Amino acid sequence: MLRIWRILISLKLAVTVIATLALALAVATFVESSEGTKAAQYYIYRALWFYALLTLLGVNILAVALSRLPWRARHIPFLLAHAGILMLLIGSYLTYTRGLDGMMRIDEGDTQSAIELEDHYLVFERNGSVETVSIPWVPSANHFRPSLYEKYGIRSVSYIPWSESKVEFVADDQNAEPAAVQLKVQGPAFMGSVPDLWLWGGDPAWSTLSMGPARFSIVTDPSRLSTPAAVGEAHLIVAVLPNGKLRFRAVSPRGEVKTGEVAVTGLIDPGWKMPIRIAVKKLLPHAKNLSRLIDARVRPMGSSVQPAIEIASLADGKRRHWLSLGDRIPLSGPSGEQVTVGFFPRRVILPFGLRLEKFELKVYPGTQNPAAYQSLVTIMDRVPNAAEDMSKNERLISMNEPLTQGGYTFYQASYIPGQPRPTTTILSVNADPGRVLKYLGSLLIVLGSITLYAIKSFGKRPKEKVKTA
Amino acid sequence: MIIAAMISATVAFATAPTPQSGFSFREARLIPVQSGGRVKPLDEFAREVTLGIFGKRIVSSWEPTELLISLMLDSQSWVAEPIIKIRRDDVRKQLLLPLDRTDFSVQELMQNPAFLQYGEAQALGVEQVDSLGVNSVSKSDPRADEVKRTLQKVQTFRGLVTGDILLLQPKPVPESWGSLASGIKEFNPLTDRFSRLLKSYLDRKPEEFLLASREMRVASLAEMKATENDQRLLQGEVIYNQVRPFLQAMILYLLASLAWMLSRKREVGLKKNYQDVARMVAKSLTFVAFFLHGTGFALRCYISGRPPVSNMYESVIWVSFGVLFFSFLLYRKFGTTLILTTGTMLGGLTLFAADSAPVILDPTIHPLVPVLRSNYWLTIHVLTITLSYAAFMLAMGISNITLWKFLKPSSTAREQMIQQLNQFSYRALQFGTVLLAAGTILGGVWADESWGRFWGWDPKEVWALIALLAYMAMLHARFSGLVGKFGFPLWTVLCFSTVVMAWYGVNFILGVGLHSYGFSSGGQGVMATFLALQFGFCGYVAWRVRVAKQK
Repeated sequence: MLRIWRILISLKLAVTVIATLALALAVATFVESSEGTKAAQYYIYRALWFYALLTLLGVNILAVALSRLPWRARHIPFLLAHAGILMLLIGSYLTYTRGLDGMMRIDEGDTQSAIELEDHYLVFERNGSVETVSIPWVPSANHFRPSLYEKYGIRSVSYIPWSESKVEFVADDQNAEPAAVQLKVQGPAFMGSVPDLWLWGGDPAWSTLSMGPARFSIVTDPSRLSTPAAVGEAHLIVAVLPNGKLRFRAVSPRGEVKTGEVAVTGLIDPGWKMPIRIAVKKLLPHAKNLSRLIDARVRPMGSSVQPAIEIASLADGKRRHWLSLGDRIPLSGPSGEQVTVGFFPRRVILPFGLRLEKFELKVYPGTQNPAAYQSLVTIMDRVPNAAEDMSKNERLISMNEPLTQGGYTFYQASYIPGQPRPTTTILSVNADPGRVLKYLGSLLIVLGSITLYAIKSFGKRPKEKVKTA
Repeated sequence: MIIAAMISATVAFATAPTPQSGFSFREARLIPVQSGGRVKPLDEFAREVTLGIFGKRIVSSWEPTELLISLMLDSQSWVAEPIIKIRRDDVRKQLLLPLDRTDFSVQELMQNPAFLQYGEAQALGVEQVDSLGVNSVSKSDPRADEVKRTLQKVQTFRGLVTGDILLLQPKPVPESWGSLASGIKEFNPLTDRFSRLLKSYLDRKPEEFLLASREMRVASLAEMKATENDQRLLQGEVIYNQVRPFLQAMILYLLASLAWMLSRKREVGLKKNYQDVARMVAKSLTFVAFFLHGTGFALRCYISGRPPVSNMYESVIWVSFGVLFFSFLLYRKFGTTLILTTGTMLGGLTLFAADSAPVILDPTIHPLVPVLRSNYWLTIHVLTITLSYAAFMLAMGISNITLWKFLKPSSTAREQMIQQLNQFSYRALQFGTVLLAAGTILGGVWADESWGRFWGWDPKEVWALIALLAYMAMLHARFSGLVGKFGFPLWTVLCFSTVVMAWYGVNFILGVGLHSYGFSSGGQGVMATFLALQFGFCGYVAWRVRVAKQK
């Protein structure tokens, strides 16, 4: 017991813990740089061992402070600084366990009361009742633990932390599947390559794609090529002919029309103002869609993760379904009833709403660079009468000028770019019960370390004291 | 028409344009133009354009304003001059350019099919496709970056020649000013005046040029309804550009450092009164340099209308200032001139670093991104943190000298010196740790105010914390006797690498996180060399000390 106590109050332990902490943090920043923010959180910042290390630091500080009992006046600076660190640690723990940090997105004129958080949930809906299960992010499928949700007859099978859709079509002449065509936009390709375009007639989601300033469509029936094109856009419409060739109709933004026929590996000149050609790389008169989600190789750091989860219904054991974040699917439950399973970010509904009256963006003169942006909102804490004037509830949220309401603080975080001006604001919403402790702790640290250095005599601590403690 | 539209098929063997004698640009320099979101004098615009094309703010023997005018008037010659640098071999290979030289003319590039194709891709917005998520791109490819930079250089040249980027018709505040090009399309009295100014230069009539410049300047100021303060700002910026206070300060600091060194050298055999002279010289040089440094700083704040918190260049200048400040403080306390030798040397070298790479450390005054605007906490936070870097840098410098002393044969004088030096760097570390702790916490306060999170494990803040922890571990180790009189300077030097990482590395190497407004690239080689030399030196001294102990 005494030995443990001796270790706990030793400066050697302090030096080791501090140095280990520094090393762990350094590794974390490199993990973040290569594997993304979520991975750094998983392996370090939110890992159990990291909390243990911080706790050890706290225990070490507390033990050293207690070992100096009875405290004298010369101990004050030391006590202040180290009590500050303890408070900071406790405050951070409160923030982590009880705090809330999310995003709220509002369109002009709309009222919003939902906050979206960073954690993800599986949502089960049956007969109007809803239940949620947390699905923590894991860095790879190997870290995922499949579970069975017996009540609903649903099980989770696998997980992809960074999902990406892989497009694949194969010829399938047995079944009369619709045609697919693979196009490649050529011309501006140097270094950065333009991805291939697949158009497939079997699903509205696949039959029309937009790319940059142009739109591409496929129709199953060549006679429907002349369907009206999108107005004011470059639009290329194609159809596969029975002779295996491709017929196209290109419409320019000004409405000029060009038609023609090409075979595989041929080039389409759409006659648009942009100097581009479209190569026909592959033509499948009957194609089966094998497109699926795969683990993306690229882990961009700034962008948000797009996890996907694979689930299966026990009632229909063979079929598995991938759900990307935001997807939902109806499945059959244990007794054949319908269970809808969704995979969503966690949402918190506030007891009041915010209506965005106006979003304003100012740019630096003569440039497109934003200088400032702000949101004019009305706090909607109840449904207003028709005659009631809500303007007294109007508040302005701008950069560095947050709004505090009902224990939540709203910060101007970002906006969604739009033409001719952006009309959707993104607010960061935050509730932090550890704030007071953190501020107080910070103050003590600074005060303590200044006095610590100011009072020289502290450096000459009697060594015997430690041994007797 | 005076302004010739750029034609790719120009005369191939034109002679290089040279500056003309007899012209005065003191009026032309002051003509207000709008660029990069603010109004600035033509002189500054000319320097920025020069940086944008040549990769440096001043081209030898050219007055920046004259170079600007020459580029516009004599574009037919300039287009054939090898003025654009492409350093990367692989890029030159990819563009099928000759590998035996690095400088190319605009014409050469404009006739290069691969380069043009890239330009078209940019104009078409292929990157839009990327942002749609169809083609996810990870970290940027350094080759693509180089091509992009080269494209920007060509575009700047082209924009200048066509008159598109020269905005000289004032408009009321939120609006964009009218360009020279638009003024040529539709008659505008100001552009007409500017054309006359250009014509008088072309006709080689210096008096007429000066007069036309003056008229142009007065007319523009009247048009923008300039207040006296606006005029003073323009003048201030021209003076700032002409004097180059940081460059002067750098030279003076280095000279002062030399003089301080001489004033201490008893072994060289200098007589006592020579030492006194050296001391006097050193003192006055240091004083003048510090005064210039401070004045330059104040002038820059005045021009930009904000504290210097926006980019790497400004932080380097500020750190250099801080090093001098702390060395004065320590000198006042301990009275050893060795502190000033170190301080002036470090200050001079830091300023040299700031001034020598304008492409990496961009000295241009840019307007602030929204999150950095008008925030009290931010200003204090950044200034405190960077000031702590200065204290650590001074401690690092002093500790390097301490390590150097360990190489000398052991003697009482040496031991005394080492003890003294350790005391100096310990004092510098005290300033550093308090400021870094306070600055990091203030950063938390600011983040809490702006984003609603006190601490978000953002790499920049994490590295500030790592630096703090590293020094804290070292100070605790010193306190408990784990490191002694040799370990202390050794670790002080080694710990500075965490400051390098927090200050430079996060922005230039990691390139992640919320502090993205400061991201850039370049200088990795220099930084790696610095760190390698430091580690090498530490290793060498440690080995020597070990050998000495064994004997």
